[in-house]
Amino acid sequence: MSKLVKIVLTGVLVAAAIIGVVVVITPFSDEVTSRDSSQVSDNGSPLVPSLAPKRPPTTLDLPKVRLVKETKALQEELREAARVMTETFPEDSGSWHLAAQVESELSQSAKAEEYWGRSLELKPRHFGPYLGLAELLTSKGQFQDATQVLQKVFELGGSTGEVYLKLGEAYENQGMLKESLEALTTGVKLFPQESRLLYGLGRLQAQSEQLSEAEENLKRAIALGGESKQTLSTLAGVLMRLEKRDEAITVRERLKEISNQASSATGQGESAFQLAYDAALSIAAFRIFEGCGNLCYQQRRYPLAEKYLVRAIGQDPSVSSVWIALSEVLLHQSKYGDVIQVLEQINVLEPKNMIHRVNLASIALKVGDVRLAESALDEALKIDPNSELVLVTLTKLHAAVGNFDKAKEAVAMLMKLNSSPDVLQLKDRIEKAANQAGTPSS
Amino acid sequence: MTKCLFFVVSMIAMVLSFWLRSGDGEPTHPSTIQFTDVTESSKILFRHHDGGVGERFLPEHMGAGLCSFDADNDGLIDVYLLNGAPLLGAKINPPPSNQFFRNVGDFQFRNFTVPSGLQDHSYSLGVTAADFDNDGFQDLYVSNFGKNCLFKNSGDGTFEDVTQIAGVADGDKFGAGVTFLDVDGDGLLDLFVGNYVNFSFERHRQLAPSAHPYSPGPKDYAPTPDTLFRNNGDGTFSDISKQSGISSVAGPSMGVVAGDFDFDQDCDIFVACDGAPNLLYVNNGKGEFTEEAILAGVAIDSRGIANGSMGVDSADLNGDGLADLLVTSYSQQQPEFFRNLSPGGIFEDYSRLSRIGTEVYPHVNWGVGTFDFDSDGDIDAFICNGHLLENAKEIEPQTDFGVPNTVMENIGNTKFRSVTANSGEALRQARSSRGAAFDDFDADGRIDAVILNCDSEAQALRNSNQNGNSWLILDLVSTSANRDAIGAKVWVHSNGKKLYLERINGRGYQSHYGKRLHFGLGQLKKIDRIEVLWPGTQHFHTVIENVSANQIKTIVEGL
Repeated sequence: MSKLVKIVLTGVLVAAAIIGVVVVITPFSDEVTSRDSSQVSDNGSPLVPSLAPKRPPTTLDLPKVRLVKETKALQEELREAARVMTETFPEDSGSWHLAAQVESELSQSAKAEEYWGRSLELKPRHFGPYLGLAELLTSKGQFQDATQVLQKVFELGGSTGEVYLKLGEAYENQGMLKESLEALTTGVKLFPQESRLLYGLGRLQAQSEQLSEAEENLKRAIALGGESKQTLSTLAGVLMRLEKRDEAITVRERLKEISNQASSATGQGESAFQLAYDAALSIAAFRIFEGCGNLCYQQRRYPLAEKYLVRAIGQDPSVSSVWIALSEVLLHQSKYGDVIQVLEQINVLEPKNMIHRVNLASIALKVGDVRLAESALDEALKIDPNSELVLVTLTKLHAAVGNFDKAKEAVAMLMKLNSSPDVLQLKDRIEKAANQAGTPSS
Repeated sequence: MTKCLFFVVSMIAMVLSFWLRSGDGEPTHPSTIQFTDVTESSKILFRHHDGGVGERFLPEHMGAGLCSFDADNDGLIDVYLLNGAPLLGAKINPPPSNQFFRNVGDFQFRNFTVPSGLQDHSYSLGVTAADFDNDGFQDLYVSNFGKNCLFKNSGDGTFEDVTQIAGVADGDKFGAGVTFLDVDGDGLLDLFVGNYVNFSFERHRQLAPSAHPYSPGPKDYAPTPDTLFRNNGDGTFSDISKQSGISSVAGPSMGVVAGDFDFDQDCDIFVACDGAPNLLYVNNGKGEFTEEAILAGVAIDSRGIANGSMGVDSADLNGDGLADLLVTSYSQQQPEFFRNLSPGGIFEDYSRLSRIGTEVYPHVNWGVGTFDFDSDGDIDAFICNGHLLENAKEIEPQTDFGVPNTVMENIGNTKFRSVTANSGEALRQARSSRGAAFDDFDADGRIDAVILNCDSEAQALRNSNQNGNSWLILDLVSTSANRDAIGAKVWVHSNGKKLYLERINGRGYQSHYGKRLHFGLGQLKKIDRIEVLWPGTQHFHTVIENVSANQIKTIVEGL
């Protein structure tokens, strides 16, 4: 797994954790009957004074569709991002790793190698540069050197699906079937849901005459990662070797369908190279901008982080992890209107993830938009009526705004799903608060 | 005493053999493969012109193929090199033409282009040779960017352009690899013509700005279906592309090779495709083909990628008695080594595990020859390298326009090692090579090479290895099927070892070579048995026993 991906994942986890903390420490987490509660007064009257929406203004114009930028301008923007990172954070190995990735994308392999070297000087236990270097060495045909670099990642304790995949390929490139199989078998054991590992293992098993195992793993790869030209064509070959010609022909027909669906540049106004290059550069730019954003976040440079995460979203608005990272950065800047906007988009991208809906409700309540909080949770319940998280939150929300009947209703639903001591305690507190507020239990 | 001595010597040899191998099984002893550049002394003085004026039209990158064949039946292999022609806006004075070099012995050639009538000024790309009219003389077919040409060998040292009469101009297309083969076993050689893409100068100019720093490539144009001509036996051909199934698919075809890849006693056709899945036309013996590359496992590489395949050669690379395929590829792709799996016809790409492509991985590769260059009894590989763009270094720093060619030595167990660095000065020259032809040009039993370099001078490389290994070269003449015996299978048995070769046609990068079959025999001085399975529907066999090594032997079917 690349450094960038690690940064992204770290960012996402931290974001989720912090937003989770927001959930815990802001309205819903408070002891609804506590004197110190910020939401319920001693006499039970709600601390949230009004149900009128108080949505704060937004400052961001967030892209909802992919921005198209001229190739040269995008290349220049990437160079500039690399410059900003290395000048702003010269002592952070991540900045040099990002700069190396930019240079690598722009075919400046000597510079890329130099920057990865610098990154490792600053932080020798940084996995990303090793992966980048391994890829660079592979492109030069230095497969043995690439293997040694990847081994270094393992020595440093790095163990991701991507490392196993690359190590397996590096061994394969040297003709070392046994070692390659070992790397991929271990990878699949550790990361059984990674379709690329399964595909890699299936391919190699075919080469070592383990045809039934190959068939099984290729089919699993397709089930997990979807059909692709690679998986289908490899599977067709394995099926033929297993003398399953009819099934192989069916797979081939499916492959033809996929191939026909793939767009062809023929007849278009731009060269196929340009289209392919633009697509590849766009993907790389997304990764790099996202990495810049996460690096800036780690360095607590929130406005800069915001700039790069928004830029990453411009490259690909469909990746929820960047939106989550951005929500966190915005939260740090108390840009609640923007946070809400971002969380709403996250809910579009991940409609079944209840945590995001609860987070939205939390922030909405924080800014006094009770209606939005309620609607977010109501919407969540429609999607998953059995979400205990949503029911707990909804119970607390209703209690916080003094709507104890609804709070009791919600906690009753919760009781049907979970009658643990914690839930019983919550029920007791709601009833106590309701009594204090003069709405005794029925 | 003698037995005891023999035992001791054998044991020492065995220990040495193990000792000389490194930890991972790779021999540490130096390769004996040696090539010497004899271009100047050979007088194969040829310069290829790409015909461009800097606009980088697609044909400019292609270079061309070449053909080695015995044009005058004097037992010496001659060479015909293809050339470009001025493209739109270009002027070259004098205009380039294809060149014919007649072998006069001892690796000496004379330019006989004008006397032979082979001075063609077309923009030529691919070539093959065979005796299509069974008159005993090798004819030539040339694919062009434009109309193709069929040159009939008159038998008196001259050739006659019979394209119009034969009806094989194949329109006005962007030609590629071509091959003669007998599709229906009637004894007459038919003609397969690979076609590349539907290039146009207008579209190039439209796309060129957005393709920078590359230039518009094969994916920017619709692929053109290939063509199959049936030999009518009267000097004319009929286009049977549709009824044979050949035109049912279209790919950006480049190198082609015809051979019996599924071992069912008819000729199939493999077509290397540039940036698209390769094609395998499987013959049902009646001249009807179905395209089965995906099912046969030769459409894509082991990673599931459709490579930028360029050239192809076929031989038994792993000694299992089945014809494998070696397909050259674009940069950062390994050449595909399609290992033919028993009982034949289903392949797997074994390139990475065999290490055959480790050295050429960073480079674009084109011409390819699979021969036993050190005559030690297994098949090695010669691969031609060089990027198609002169500014390659700027955009793909790991490679360049000019790159040395590569020699991979077969070290057994389906493994290869690079011996380029130790194979002589000739292998250290950086050129942008395209087609290559491999034959024994000096009749010394060692396979030499002639390399066509894009927009540059050709090279003649003499195989100068001094290992003293034995060899056998067979020239086959069929009397019941096509005279060239295309499709014949030969097994050479000696000392418990069996070597296999098939008489194939149309090889490498849009080239043709190797009509005579070369077998490396190591230290053996005698062959126990030669077995020939002749082409055609009657499946005649010839068996010859107790044959001396180190000779060029002609085997005539039925004699």
